[in-house]
Amino acid sequence: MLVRRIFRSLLPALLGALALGAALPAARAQEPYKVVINSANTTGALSKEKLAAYFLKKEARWSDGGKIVVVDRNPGAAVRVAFSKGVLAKDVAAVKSYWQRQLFSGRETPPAELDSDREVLDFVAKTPGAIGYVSAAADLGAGVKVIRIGG
Amino acid sequence: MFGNEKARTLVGPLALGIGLIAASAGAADWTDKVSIHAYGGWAAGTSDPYPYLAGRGEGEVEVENLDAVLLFQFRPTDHLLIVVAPEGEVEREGDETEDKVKLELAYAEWEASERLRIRFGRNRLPFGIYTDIYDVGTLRPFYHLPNAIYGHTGFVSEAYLGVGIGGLASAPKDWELRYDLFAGGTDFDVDEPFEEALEPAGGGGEEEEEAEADIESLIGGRLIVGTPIEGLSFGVSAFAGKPEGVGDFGTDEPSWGDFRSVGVHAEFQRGAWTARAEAGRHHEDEFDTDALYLEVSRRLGERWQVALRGEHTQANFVRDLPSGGDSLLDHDEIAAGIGYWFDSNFVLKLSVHSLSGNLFSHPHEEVAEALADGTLDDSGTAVVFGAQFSF
Repeated sequence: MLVRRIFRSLLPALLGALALGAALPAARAQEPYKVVINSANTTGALSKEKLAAYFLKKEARWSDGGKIVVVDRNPGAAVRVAFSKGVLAKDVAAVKSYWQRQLFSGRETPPAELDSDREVLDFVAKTPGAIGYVSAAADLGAGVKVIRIGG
Repeated sequence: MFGNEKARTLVGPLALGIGLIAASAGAADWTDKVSIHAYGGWAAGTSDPYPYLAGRGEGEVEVENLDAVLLFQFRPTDHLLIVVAPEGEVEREGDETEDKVKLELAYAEWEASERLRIRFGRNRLPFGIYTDIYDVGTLRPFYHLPNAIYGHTGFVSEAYLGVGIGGLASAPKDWELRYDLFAGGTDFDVDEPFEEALEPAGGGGEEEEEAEADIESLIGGRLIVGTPIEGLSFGVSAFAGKPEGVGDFGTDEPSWGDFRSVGVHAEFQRGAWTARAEAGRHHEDEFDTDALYLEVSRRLGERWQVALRGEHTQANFVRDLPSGGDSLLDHDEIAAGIGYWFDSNFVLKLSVHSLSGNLFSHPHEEVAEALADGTLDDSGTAVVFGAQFSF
């Protein structure tokens, strides 16, 4: 009887903890950035690995053969710090070093760095094959769409 | 001067080619097709007792070269890249200052795909870790590259004149294979104190001149394997060629393969840590050199970096050296450094070096004189302070 009484009194707390546990990953999944592509692009989702390959120019073509045009944010932007850590798994300084090495060894040129979410959205809207990222709170406007990260 | 002379003759045709392509494009917007970058550095240093790195020996503080490269990149189409990079250098030798301008790079690259890029002209000789970014000081922890592979023993050259292909090869999932193959010719810096020590007997005691080995029929390649472990890669490099003439102490007519290098390397970059190591063997008719180094660095926050490096080089010369001259054939060094990055484009560096052996003491006059006097010291120290930039 004692065990049942203890169980009944603990049940609400256990359920609450479980609910909180289920909610935490969802909260974590709310990234501070969203990845945007030109609205003519049929891609719906990309894994973080694929995104990293695109943004580091290790892959240059979409699955339909179209050229990928990457656009970046300026190094001081909070969204770039979050994107670099979250998707590229590097801090911004390491990403800058990566691009210096690519540039000076003649392999690749770094993507254009734009100063605001608006500039990124405008660029992606008018450039077929473009991919960029903006703050989670940014208003998209016409010509761009958000893709899901993962899957 | 095989490479430099022929490279200079490339500037005109390349400039003309760029002009013709630009002119034929009519009203196209070229501003996004041309990019101009630069990198270089300046250093001051001291070394004791003999010249080493930025120091000129005897503990006196000296200002080393000011060195800068302008890198012009022109991409008229998605597949074509044209690169021209002149290098300017202000070099101090004692009380004299000498200005030099040379053509570091001048090549055209056709990118058929990620798997195949073809380069013609004077371009980077792919060997080991640092040859792709030879003078880009913002991409390494110490002001100077490790002498073990990048010193005056002829292991590598900054560039070759010829044709090369490279790209990504097929690899299993999560692996990356990057290859380079090349053929051509170039000059190699080969300038060792042990030859100078024997100069009266072997070369008639001539004044020191540009010490270069002209190598033709050069063929080589490099393979870099990126592993599934994030930031870890390995590589192997090799080349061989034919010296243009017999060396001061050589005997046989040169043949293909008399000048050759082979090396392996490993690199690990993750988070704040970077570790790089290379080992290799270089062969010439007159001597062999075995070399290796390990370099470890760690970022402290966004701006600071600390680094340690150990290196070892051992040369074997065909002739016996005068008594007490063994230290001219080897070099062991431990170095510690600290760097402060204002941003990724500009860094200040300070390093201290403890060394044993005189293989890389340069210029060599003081070493040769000390050997002749019987007062040759086989250990020394050096301190280097410098600034490096790239953009």
